[in-house]
Amino acid sequence: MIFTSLSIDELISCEKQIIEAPARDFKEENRHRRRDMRLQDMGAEKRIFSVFIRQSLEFAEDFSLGLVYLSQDGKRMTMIRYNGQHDQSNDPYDLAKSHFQYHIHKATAENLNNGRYAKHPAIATRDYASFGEATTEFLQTIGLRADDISIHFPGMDSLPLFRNRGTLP
Amino acid sequence: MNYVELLSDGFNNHVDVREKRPGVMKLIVPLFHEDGDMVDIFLEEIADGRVRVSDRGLSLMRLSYDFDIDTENKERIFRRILNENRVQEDRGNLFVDVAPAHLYPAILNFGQTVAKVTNMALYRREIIANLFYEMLQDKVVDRLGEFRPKEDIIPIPQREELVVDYALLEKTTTPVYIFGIKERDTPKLRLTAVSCLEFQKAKLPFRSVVIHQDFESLNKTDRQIITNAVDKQFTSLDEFTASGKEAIERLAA
Repeated sequence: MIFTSLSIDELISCEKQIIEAPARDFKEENRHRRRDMRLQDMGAEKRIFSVFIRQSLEFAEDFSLGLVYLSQDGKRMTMIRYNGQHDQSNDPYDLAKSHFQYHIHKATAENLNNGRYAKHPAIATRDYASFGEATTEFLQTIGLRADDISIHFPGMDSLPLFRNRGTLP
Repeated sequence: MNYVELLSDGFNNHVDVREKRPGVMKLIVPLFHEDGDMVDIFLEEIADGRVRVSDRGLSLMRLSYDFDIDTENKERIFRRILNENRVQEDRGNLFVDVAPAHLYPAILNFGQTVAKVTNMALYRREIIANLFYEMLQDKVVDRLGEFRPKEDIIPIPQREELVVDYALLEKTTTPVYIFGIKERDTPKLRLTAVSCLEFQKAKLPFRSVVIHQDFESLNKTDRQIITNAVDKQFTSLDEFTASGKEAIERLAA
């Protein structure tokens, strides 16, 4: 399969339903808390995805929510990750540009087509400013069915009325 | 010089620190993961005048995005990485305590250790053949998750030695019993053959599937034994990945 930015966007946003529900409460281990679930897209292909949600217990601002595509040929491809605040560089070779912002890692066609499935570049974002907002935004971005959100993530089904959107320079 | 000045001197001033929490300094240093996230390294003075270099649990959190240390084999590899790099662990926190004068080499070593730990998923998939059974588990869950595979099922309660690795009991007309066999694992192969023959003798309704790590590694006798005992075989994990789900759906119908 050859990936394009369009096919990546489609994989991320296609409507999905939960086929393995997350535990009701977060599980704590190794100084972080976690929830996991498995999703299936609601189209004819019935593609399978997994979702991980992690948050540091010591640094609440340090978290990651990720969507992983489990391809038919057995590959795990991380498609998008909503991250909290930790030091990050859009270009690790450019020392002048590290930042400390909320940021989103998104798969690129170049990475996936070259067998780099897990680690993708990031852009700083204004789309959320807390773990709760990131969760709400993430669940909508990955196309999770509204019913599933209201059942398994109560209170996470609506976004704040006033907020800044978009990427940061 | 205090420890921050010593460190800065070692790194030729290409480092900085930020107070993350009272008494805990986050090291800003050009050590990055593949996706551009900075390696999490924290510094704090401890009672005996040394400095604790730690990650406050963030490396294992990062690892958990796509890999869990949930088997003895994985745990053994994890402990070996730490031990060989003289890094300790306390409830997920990786750390090393060093004298201020040794901070520079300690941080370089710590950064390497974090890189090894956070990339353990690569060891699973590409390097360590001994992790076949863990890889098989991943594949079964990934490919057959909708059947809710049950692990380590004993179909005949009074025969506890006859264990099925994975049983598909839901969404199947006939139960499917799946066995994994590592390369050249003759004892497992023969136990699998005996198990299937005993299940047949007990007139259990089931279909049997074997997933080999490498069918070609088996000798001729073993190949005959297993071929005569089971319904369907996959000669490698890749074969199972490519066509396993469809084949099992046909078997279970």
